[in-house]
Amino acid sequence: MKKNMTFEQAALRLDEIVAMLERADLPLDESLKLFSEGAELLAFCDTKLAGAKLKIETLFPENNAAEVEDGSN
Amino acid sequence: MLTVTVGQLNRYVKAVLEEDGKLSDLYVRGEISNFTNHYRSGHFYFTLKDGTGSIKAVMFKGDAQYVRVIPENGMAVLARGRVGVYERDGVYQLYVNDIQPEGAGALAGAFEQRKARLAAQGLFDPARKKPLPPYPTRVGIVTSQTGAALEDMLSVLERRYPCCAAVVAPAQVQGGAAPATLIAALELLDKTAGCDLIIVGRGGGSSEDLWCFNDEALAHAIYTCNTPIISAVGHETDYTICDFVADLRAPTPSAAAELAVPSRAELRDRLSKQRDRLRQQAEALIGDRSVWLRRIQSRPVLQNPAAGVEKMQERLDFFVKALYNRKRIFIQTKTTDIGSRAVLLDSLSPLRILERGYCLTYKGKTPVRAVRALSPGDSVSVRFWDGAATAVVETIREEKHR
Repeated sequence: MKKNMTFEQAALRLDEIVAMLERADLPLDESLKLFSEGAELLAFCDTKLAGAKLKIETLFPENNAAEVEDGSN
Repeated sequence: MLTVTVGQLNRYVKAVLEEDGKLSDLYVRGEISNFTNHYRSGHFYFTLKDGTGSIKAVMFKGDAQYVRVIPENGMAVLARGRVGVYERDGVYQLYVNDIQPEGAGALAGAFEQRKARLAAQGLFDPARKKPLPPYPTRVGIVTSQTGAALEDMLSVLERRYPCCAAVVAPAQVQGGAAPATLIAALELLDKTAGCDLIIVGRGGGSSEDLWCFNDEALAHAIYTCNTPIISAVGHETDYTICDFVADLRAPTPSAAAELAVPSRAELRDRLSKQRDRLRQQAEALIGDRSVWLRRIQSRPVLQNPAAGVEKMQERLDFFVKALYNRKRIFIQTKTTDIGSRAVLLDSLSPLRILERGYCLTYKGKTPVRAVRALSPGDSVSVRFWDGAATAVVETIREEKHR
């Protein structure tokens, strides 16, 4: 499994692995490799989905207010 | 005759005008031209005109920020305010504190006109729409910090995908100052907050309340934004310019939040299905091999491995016995052989012949095989089985037979 994988990449790879295992008649050691990669990906996806509470940040844009001038155009 | 300074004159005119009760609060009907919205100061400057003349007008930020529909050139309006003098330039102008589009069609007309213009500029081009990331980790939200829309969006994100972060950049969502704050918030999120997508929106309101989302500068800001944007302004039936420019239009802020993130429950369902499928495959793989293993295990040789060894042992014993037998027979045969050869050898020994009464004659060391080898007077030795005698040849008589 690659480092810095995104959830999307992991999910796609997982799809691929399940499909390969279901479709192909692979040699045993190949299958075992895929199983262990699949298990890793599942664990990775689980951690990505973990987190009980939404994190909320608030960023304030620089105040647009300017001096009020008694001017005309 | 009176002589005054410019300043005194302007101050005087200003005082005269401001004393007039009629001019201190009135509605003026006209069409907007030379409209300038100073995004930095928040003031509006424009000219009101009709078929016969025009008057300069200013609307300060304090009032402009609450205006429901931002005026624009060509819009027929009813402006409320007072008449005053700007002493520096010696001009009288209308200090507007409220302004509304006049007539039912004014707003719709302005909207359609602007929509057509921006469409022509390519701002609504479907080819320019950015795809939304399927699994965002940071969701930007530009809306009012106090509105119900923010609460709605946050609660949807919380329920649906609490593994992401919501980055809120507050902005005003109605009034004249709104577009500037919306743009500032949008740019802040786009450039510095590392958001995967941004929701821009507000809850429902009158079309005048939502008018700031039709702002042209806001439309351009959305268009140039690098982050995908979901627009969620008002209710299902409300359409704003913002909706057309955004990469996706959501009917409500809550719907925008739904569209922004996947459902964690669904993802987990999917993961657990994949986990099951992996397990099934693993079991099938192991199953096939365990059937094979059971079949192999049921073979007699593996049922009673000792039996095989015993059988081999028997065979080995048999071979060993056979080998010993062979060896014994061989030795016997050879022994017999040697015995009979010894007898033969013995029977052929000359001594045996001598025993039977024959004798051998030697001349010197040479056996005499024929009489012609001898001459009278030769000394010979005659060998018997039990000894030898010497003799002298007297006569020779050769027999001519054979």
